[in-house]
Amino acid sequence: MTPSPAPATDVVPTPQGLWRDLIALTKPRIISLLLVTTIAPMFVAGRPSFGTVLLVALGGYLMAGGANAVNMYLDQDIDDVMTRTKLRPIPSGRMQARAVIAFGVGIATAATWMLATFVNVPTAALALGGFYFYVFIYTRWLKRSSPQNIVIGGAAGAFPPLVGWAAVTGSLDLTACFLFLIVFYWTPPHFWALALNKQRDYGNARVPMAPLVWGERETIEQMWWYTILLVGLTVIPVAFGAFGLVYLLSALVLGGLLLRGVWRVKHASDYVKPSWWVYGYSLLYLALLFVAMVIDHALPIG
Amino acid sequence: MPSLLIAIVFWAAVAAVLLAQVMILRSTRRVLRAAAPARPALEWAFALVPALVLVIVLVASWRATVRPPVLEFSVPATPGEIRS
Repeated sequence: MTPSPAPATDVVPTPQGLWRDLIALTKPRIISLLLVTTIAPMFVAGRPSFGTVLLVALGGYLMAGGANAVNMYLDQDIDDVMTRTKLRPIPSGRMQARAVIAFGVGIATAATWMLATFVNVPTAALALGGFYFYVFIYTRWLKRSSPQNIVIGGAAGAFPPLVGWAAVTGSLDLTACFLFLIVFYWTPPHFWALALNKQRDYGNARVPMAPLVWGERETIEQMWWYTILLVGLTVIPVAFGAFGLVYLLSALVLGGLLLRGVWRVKHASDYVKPSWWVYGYSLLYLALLFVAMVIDHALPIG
Repeated sequence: MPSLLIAIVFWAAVAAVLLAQVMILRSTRRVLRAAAPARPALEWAFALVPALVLVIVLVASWRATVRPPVLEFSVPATPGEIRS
């Protein structure tokens, strides 16, 4: 990746447009799910104060937003050739690349300071760990070099539950490890459902996503087994007392629907419609699973 | 929850997880043979490291499941044992 100056543009920037672009750099739609997987574990780990929740939410947003902005700086060349990303602030010429990297590093630094000062050091360290993993391990190294990019890269998105847990307890335990693994194993079926439908885009950008390298059949096969693994993992914490009956039933119902969706992808003559369904539902699945954890702790049945 | 239900949930989930992990590794072996990547050892590491972590976490969760319950009880102190 060679950072290049933004193309000339006749668009006159307005303050509203700049704000809109700065918010777009943080990828707010993606962060909303990350915040659910950050805040829900706080209520499973203990009884956080409103102030702590607010600080972790703000710190988490800034850290993840910073990582996303740095990602847009590093990926500006491939964003320019992919249909779904060519309207981002750098490829569209609305923002200078150097301003984007400064913004990303700036808000991530502010997040580190804020979490370390007002929450605790383990929380700041874990959030920063997620930032580095996403920027250097996923974006810089794996994304363009391995079809298993999102398998290992999924660890970056799995840091938020650890951040939320550490904010309340100051440490990590077995339940926190399971929350990490749930997000980690959720990532491959979710992103491969998208990759199946965006193969041309990824091919143009020379990103070696699994469907392009392994073929569609083998990718869908792995989606199926990753989903079974995920659903199995979600119920194990019930066995050692981390969650009760409300969560168990929720995990089984939500997981059953996800399995049915991937089964349809596996057996349909045309995978386009069912794989878009899996992509959309898997977002809802993860959010509802984490909400179920909180409800289970609020209503301890079983 | 009844301990029998907990045992069924645990072992059924572990069986599903282990079967799925084995099938993922088998699929990875197939694709690595077919695609002949530039760095096969690294690709194998990407598949094996999560599997290893998974086994460690499963063993830890089994130990947490079979951990004997901690009995906590208190005995009221006699007046002579109370020191100011």
